[in-house]
Amino acid sequence: MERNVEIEVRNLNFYYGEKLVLKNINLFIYKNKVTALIGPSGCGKTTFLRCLNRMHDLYVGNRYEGEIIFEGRNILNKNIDLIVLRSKIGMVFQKPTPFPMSIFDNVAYGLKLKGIKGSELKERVEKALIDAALWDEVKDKLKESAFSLSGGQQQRLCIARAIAVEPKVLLFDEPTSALDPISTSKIEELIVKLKSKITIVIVTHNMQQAARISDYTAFMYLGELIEVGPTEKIFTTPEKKLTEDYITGRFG
Amino acid sequence: MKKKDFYLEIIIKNFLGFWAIFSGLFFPFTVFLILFYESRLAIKHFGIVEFLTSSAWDPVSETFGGLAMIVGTLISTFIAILIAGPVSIGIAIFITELAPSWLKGIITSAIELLAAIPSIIYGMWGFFILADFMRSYVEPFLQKVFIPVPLIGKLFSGSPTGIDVLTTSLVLSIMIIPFMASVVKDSFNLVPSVMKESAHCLGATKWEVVKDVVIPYTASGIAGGLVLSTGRALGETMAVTFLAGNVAQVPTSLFSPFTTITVALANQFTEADTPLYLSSLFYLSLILFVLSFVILSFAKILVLRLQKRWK
Amino acid sequence: MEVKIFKRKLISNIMLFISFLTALYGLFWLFWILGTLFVNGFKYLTLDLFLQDPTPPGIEGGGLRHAFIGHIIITSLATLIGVPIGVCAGIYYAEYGRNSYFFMALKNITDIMVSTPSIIMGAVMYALMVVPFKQFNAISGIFALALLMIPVISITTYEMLILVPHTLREAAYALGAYKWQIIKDITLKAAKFGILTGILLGVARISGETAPLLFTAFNNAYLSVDLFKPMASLTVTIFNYVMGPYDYWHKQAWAAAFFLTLLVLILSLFAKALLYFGTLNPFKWKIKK
Repeated sequence: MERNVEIEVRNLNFYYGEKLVLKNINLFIYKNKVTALIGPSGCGKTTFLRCLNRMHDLYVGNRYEGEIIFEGRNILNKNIDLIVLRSKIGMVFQKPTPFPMSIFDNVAYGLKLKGIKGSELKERVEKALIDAALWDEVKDKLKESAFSLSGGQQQRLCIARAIAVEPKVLLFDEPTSALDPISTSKIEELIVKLKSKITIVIVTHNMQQAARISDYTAFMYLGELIEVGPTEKIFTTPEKKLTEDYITGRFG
Repeated sequence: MKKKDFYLEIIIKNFLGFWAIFSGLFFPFTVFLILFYESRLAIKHFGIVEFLTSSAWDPVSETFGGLAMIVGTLISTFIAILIAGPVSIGIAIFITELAPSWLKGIITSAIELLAAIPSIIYGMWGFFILADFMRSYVEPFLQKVFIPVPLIGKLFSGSPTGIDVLTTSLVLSIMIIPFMASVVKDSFNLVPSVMKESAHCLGATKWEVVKDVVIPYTASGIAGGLVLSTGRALGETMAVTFLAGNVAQVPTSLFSPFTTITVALANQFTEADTPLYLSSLFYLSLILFVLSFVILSFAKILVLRLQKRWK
Repeated sequence: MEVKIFKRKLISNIMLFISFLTALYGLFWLFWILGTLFVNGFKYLTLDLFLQDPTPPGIEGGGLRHAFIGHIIITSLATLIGVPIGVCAGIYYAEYGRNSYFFMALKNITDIMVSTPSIIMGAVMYALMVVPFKQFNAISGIFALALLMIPVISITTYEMLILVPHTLREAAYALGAYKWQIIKDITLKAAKFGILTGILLGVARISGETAPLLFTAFNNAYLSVDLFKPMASLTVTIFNYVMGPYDYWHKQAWAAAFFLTLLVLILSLFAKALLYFGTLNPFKWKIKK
């Protein structure tokens, strides 16, 4: 495995019950780069994203085949400790999901689970909020409920919460689709800034967003990975006709 | 658009509205008025404070005080909720977080079965089966274990007969569990799955997700369910009548026979031979009605707050 | 760190195991109660129970025909009074009252009355109808049960009606219908299974009630269909027989209790099945053809 590959996906097949939903996916996710997953609705990009932190394990009837290599091990293996895995591969969801607690407690949650307390806890919470570009807006009201924040701020709070545990990889599932344009651009800026410390995979239905912020782009269609490559190449000289049709808006 | 239809609209609206006002306003108000009216003799005779603080209940000398009944009602309800509360939450956690889908349906149906059983069946079963069992095995055992313990030991004094506070509260708690477990389970199902997934993504264990996200999120609903169950338990008659003992004294131990407002009403309404006696019973009914109305209103407010917050 | 994670997982597993135990705890009581009820009730269930009237106290034999018939009379008449009133109130709350603070407050009060102690209704009807007539009578018991039913039925009717999507009503308005016509022809039809289920569950509930009858309809050792005299009911009879000193009374009480529980459970199951099957999309069948 090359030195700069964070995650390698080999021959991944995924079943919802009896239905084969992801077909034979092979993909490299590179360290400290932003990889975007694009494709029309239902192509499987979110399903694929949720394989990377084994979210599907929360529900019955799902089955993985193939391998996902991370830190030298296949994380699809039954023996993998999911609690540890999920603190290394974090996730931010489409709609902001602030916990019913204060702003401070939200960001601190993952750290408290790991047993971090006292001044170290405070420092790391502050650092996470700074890195999430939220610190200035909330530093005077850390004890207030997370629900007092606007939608865009709540989403940045969720990002702060996710990066507080210092994961290696951060998965974003259409993080700006529920936000206004200003919040969206703030979060895009944030993602570009974060990649220097974290590897990022982002699912987006907004091609312009993918073109703006990602280094690599993967195009999926009907559960298959059609094409993947450096973003500039995908958007200017795609190899497959299907990719070109999608990029130019002929469908999806 | 016929003229007839136009007039029908007005007639029907007023007819339906009449019954709405009847059910929601006239009916509860009239109940209160009637109870109050029938209690006036006792209120005049004993006042409010004296009736609420005196446990003297003697039909012969015509002294009546409601303390024994009120305390009995409150204690048995309190103990019942103490048992039923955590158990119901546990059952709701089991159904929503742990049970495989085939088991979910079975347990939920079992809960609904328990809820449908008429309360007299609980009372009868308690009287014939549980009371004996408590008297022969459970209560002597509890006595042996706890009597030597200081302070708490007092609660286990007296000769165990099975007809006492403990058995009554136990049966009451079994009756509450189905209702409360359903309320908590329904509240749990309202938590959006993305919320739970967010916690899982931070590396939380299943229990941590329940403890830190699900329960705080549904706290109002759980509290509302608890208070609602309290309101219902207060008014339970048939399960309690068989098992309390109908002794007008404030209970001093878990094994004391005692009485509640509903027990007193059920047993003595037909025995009341003087106006003051009957009026005192109505006084008890009034207290019960007001008490349960207040508690149930509180529950409703809690639940409405929950609905408003998360919409 | 590894130790911490192990401890957290251990705690998680312990707590989940405890929740499993609570489920077992609930099942334990269910099986014990229903089990003894079935065993004892079935043992003493005889045809005579239904066909014979009771013997004088102390003399073995006889049945509970008077109680079965009395119970049917009381329950059905209470239903006849309580259901229409409850449905009317529920319709008003759902169709006319939803925008009014006043009527929503009334609905909430009605909801509170659902959980009010049932013995209170008995006390009220005692004052209203037993004292003036100077004797216990079936009519007072019937009204007591009807008063219990009204809040229950109105709330279930309300909740079923608000499930009907607004678009259905709007389409009818757009065609120029009056509100009462929309309610009659569309809304009620759409919610009919839910409302029926609510009614059946209400009937199941009052069939099992004892307290409101204790000093209204009281009890009667003889078969009587006179509404102005005391009337036997299954529940009050069970109460008296259980408290009584005779062994054969106890046996008959078990049998009657078993029958009553069976009836209530079957009624409840039927009501739920009605709701489930009734709300399955009927158009599914049409398309299959």
